[in-house]
Amino acid sequence: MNHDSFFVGWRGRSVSGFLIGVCILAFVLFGGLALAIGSAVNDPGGGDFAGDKDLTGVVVAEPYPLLVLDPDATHPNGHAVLMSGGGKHGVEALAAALSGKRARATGAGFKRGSIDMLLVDTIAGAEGPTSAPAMEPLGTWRLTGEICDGKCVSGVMRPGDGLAHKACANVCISGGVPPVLVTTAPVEGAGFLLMGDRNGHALPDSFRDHTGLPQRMDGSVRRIADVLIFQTDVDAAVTP
Amino acid sequence: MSARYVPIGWNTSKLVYDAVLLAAIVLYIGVFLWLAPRFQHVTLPLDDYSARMAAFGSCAFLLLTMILCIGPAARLDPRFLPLLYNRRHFGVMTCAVALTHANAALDWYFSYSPLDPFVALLSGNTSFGRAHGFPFEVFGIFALLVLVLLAATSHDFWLKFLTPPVWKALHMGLYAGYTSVVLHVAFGALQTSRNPLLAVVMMLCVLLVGTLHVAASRRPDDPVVRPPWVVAGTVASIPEGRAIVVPVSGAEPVAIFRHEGHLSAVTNLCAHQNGPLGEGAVVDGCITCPWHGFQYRLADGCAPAPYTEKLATFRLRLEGDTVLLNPTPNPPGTFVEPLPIVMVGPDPTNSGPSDKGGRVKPDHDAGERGA
Repeated sequence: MNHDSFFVGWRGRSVSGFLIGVCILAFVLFGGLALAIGSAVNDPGGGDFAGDKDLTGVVVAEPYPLLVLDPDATHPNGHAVLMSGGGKHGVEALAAALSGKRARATGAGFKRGSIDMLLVDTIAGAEGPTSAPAMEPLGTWRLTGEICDGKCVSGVMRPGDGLAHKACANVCISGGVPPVLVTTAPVEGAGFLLMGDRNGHALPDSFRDHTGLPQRMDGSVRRIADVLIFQTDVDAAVTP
Repeated sequence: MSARYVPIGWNTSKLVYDAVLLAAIVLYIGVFLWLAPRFQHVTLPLDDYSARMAAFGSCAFLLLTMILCIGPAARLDPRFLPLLYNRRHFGVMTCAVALTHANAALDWYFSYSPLDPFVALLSGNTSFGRAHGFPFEVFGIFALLVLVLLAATSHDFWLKFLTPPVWKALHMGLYAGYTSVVLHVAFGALQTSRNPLLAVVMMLCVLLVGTLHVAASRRPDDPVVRPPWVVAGTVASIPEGRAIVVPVSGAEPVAIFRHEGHLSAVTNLCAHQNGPLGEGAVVDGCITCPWHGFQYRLADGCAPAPYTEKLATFRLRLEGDTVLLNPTPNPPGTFVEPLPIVMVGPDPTNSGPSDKGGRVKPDHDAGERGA
């Protein structure tokens, strides 16, 4: 027989032209698929690091920590900044101790659209006027959107939403990171709402089944400074 | 073949094989991470970890698809056999790529929390009652465990320790691993992707694997025969230096080789990895497995010294041009005189039996034992 047609690995024979062709084809295919799949990713949005921050305002502890900055020309009712800790940790305990008081917080800022997130490095009571932030009830709403953790979706991760990110969102929110509802259509001009339960407290653990998916929920909306808060029974959320 | 184990035994074929494979992986990752972002329609690019997850995850899926295609492709066209030769290194590299994907996910999604990363991984998503939102991570974990198990047991030590049938059955678990990877992607990335390309690529890959396996399994076989003496075929049906494979009811197939005017029968299963000896050839007077070049003497099924592998042999006889086989196996290593082919008229290939099966190249002393 013609032994050249039978491959024996330890003989160290050079590979055939056929195999060289197969390899070249595989390389072209591999490179082409990498280019095609790699360029077909979803747009993760424009959330990004917004610089180191040193902010002073009034702390709102519930449903999740907010720092409401003093009113200015751009924000006549004040500007609310969501607060979270490092990693997948919240700052609920620190915020609870300073609830309703004036505080100074430093840390890394992240911004995506109207979401302002501060990853708190330090926070302590501060001197100055303490006035309750403006609060305005906006009635009952039926909203559709995705429950995300406010930290990842604001640009700490890109993408910070979607099913692939669901478990991460659960770990973040369970750790105390404020959850937000990213709505399919703007609500009173805002694309996201901070979430809480019907009584304005943190969400129950059952929120975990509803993250990362389009969900429809009924609840009441109120505005604190310039941030909307959606108080809902998350267990009643349904897939639209 | 060798009489001792070394961590990895190299030869030219393996070095070339691994170099080409590594180059393909580097090409894929390089294009995905550095070239493709220039063509993305995004507000801001993916973060480094997420990009790495996507690059290494998709790469591992494609590599796994290729691994599963090699076997049936080599059966359909022997020119693919060299790709099968070093498939274990292919598997180990695929496992490394998959581990890089998993490590990026663990580091990014499940670290820096009050929980241990592995606890966070297992408890992060527990929506088992929902199809949409099902914890696709469990499929990835299972597939990764399969890949790690197969990579860890890919060395010939484990082959010997577990015995070839058990080892081969264990490594068939790759099909379960691949299924799990498909589910991991289907319940994860595909649910989020707004571009249908990934779904199309995945379906084509699954279709390719399935089609090749069906095509390879539909090759015409000789009719099933029953013991004791049974018709195995005609002399003319056995090419010089090659074999026919005779299926045996309730037992492993038998390979009948023709070499220099004589016929010899051994089990079709190589003692190394249960490779298909009947698809091999007689090289240097020895039956040579198409998978890794393991060799056996025709007369007694023994690997040439210093190697110790043995095959079961079988008895043959001729009635005219018809080859008859006694499908009851002899104990491995039993000598059976090669059956001379009595031809009417001159036959230039009928030059007597050969037992010169010891001419094994010294450079593969350890080369075939490497993981």
